[in-house]
Amino acid sequence: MVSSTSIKQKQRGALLTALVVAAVVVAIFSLTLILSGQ
Amino acid sequence: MAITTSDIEAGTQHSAHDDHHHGPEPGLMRWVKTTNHKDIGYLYLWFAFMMLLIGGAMAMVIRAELLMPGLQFVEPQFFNQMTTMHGLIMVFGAIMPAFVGLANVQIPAMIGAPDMALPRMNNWSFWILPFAGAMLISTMFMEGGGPAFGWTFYAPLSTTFAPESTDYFIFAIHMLGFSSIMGAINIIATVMNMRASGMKLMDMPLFVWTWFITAFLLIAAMPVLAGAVTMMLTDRNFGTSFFDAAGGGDPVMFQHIFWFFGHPEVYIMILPAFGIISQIIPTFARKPLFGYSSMVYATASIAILSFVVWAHHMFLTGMPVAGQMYFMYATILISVPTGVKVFNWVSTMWRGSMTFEIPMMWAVAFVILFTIGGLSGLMLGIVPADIQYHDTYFVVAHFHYVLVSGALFSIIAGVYYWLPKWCGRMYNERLATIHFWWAVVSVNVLFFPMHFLGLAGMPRRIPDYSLQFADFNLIASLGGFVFGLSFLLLAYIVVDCIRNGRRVEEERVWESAKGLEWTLPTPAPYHTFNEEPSRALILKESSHTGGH
Repeated sequence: MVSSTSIKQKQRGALLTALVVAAVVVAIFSLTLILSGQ
Repeated sequence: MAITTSDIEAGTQHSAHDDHHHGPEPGLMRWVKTTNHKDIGYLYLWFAFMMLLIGGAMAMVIRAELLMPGLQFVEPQFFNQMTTMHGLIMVFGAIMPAFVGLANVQIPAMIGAPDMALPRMNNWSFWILPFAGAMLISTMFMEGGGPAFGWTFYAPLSTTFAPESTDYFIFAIHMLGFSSIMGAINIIATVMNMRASGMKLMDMPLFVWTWFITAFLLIAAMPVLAGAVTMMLTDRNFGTSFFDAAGGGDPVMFQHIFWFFGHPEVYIMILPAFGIISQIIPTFARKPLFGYSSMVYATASIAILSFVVWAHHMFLTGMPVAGQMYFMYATILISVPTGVKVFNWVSTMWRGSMTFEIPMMWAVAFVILFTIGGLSGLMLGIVPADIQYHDTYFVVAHFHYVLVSGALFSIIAGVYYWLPKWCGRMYNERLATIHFWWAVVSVNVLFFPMHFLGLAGMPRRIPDYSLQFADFNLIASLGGFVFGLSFLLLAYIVVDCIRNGRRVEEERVWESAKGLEWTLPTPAPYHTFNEEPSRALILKESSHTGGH
């Protein structure tokens, strides 16, 4: 059985993963604009 | 007690003393507010099907106009809107959401997770889509008409010479991209953090692997598309000149940016298809998947290579010969991992105890027809040949073989494979057999003659053509009408299955199916894995470690 602690830990990890990936998205979007403006 | 991800994510702060079971909310609000991965997956699939019908209706207009030489039914400007909207709707509204739908329903069930990692964001990802789709379609009713510059929306056609409605098109693309990015983030977080602790990465089913890699492609490619349409927006409205030569910009740069997104996009639409086929073939060949790890590495190789071949779409823009050579060889290189996959599927079938249930028939059709599309792609990747084929119906034939008898067929195969599990009912197999042969014959009548038209020089995106192209166009159009009608039968089969289908109660709907999803009760329970599956069960259910 999945304990609530385990799920919470997993979800904390998932949030961190999501934040890192979202930061990559913002970086790629910004780079596209910056490099296109060179 | 059972705590699900949705409970926690929804901020309800359940704890060990709260042990009531959550079912779906009654009424229509269930679908608006749902954070359940299966509900959201079904919403995606129905939305994709509706868009498929709309995009298909536009294809029927195109084929009606091309039935005979001369202008028959629509004005050339409207014809251009049809080709543009058909492409956009099918790519962004039908194929991509359908795969995301399948991912939503299947991935938590396949990795032993209770739900997606971020269920509220999942709800948001879906509900953006109908608004974005409606906005995209609404452009056709605006003054000046909708986008008519092709799904590739090359500048300056989409900037200097575009109708007013293009700004709404840009907003729709932004929203569609935002939805895709959120979906991809959710899939990455789910696979990385939510899978059962006993499941290692190389234990994951191929459908999960291919979607995991596809999600990274989305993360890398969609922001580039967002950048491209943002620059279009500023060029159109705020006086910038990213793509305007008169202001120091470069329209060819638009093509580079577009295809830097566009080529990975092609693989976004085909890698999950590879995953579905890799689930279905072992089930009905009754053998473990041949070359599991090579399948994973081939998928990753295709994904990486997809970012370094974009300019093969632009051989005629006047690039240096060295550039042409590089992009040609890099493109041809992709056929190696793709070939690995095709040979692995064939090797899985080789000397298997094969039976040809409905999903298997679609999977076999996929392998054959996708390979045809792959081979014509190889031809297009060769520079001197591409100079001849570029912008002809040969290209149209190629990408429809890959996207219709490839991606779309795999989605249909997946629906026929998993539908009994989802609803606990079996579809009418006799009707489904008729549907299969109807679609397979007509899709070839529709698209195969386009190869000959292209080789003979018929350009794409034209409403009228020379007399020598008349016969093959007539055949293609008739095939198109028949193929289009087959989707009404598909809709009937699915609805009939859900409402009146023979009840299925076995957990393992297909006797040789392997995978955690087949250990769940049938129909699949509202909440997926409340209890984490054990390592032993994961290994037993593995389709590639000899579980068969």
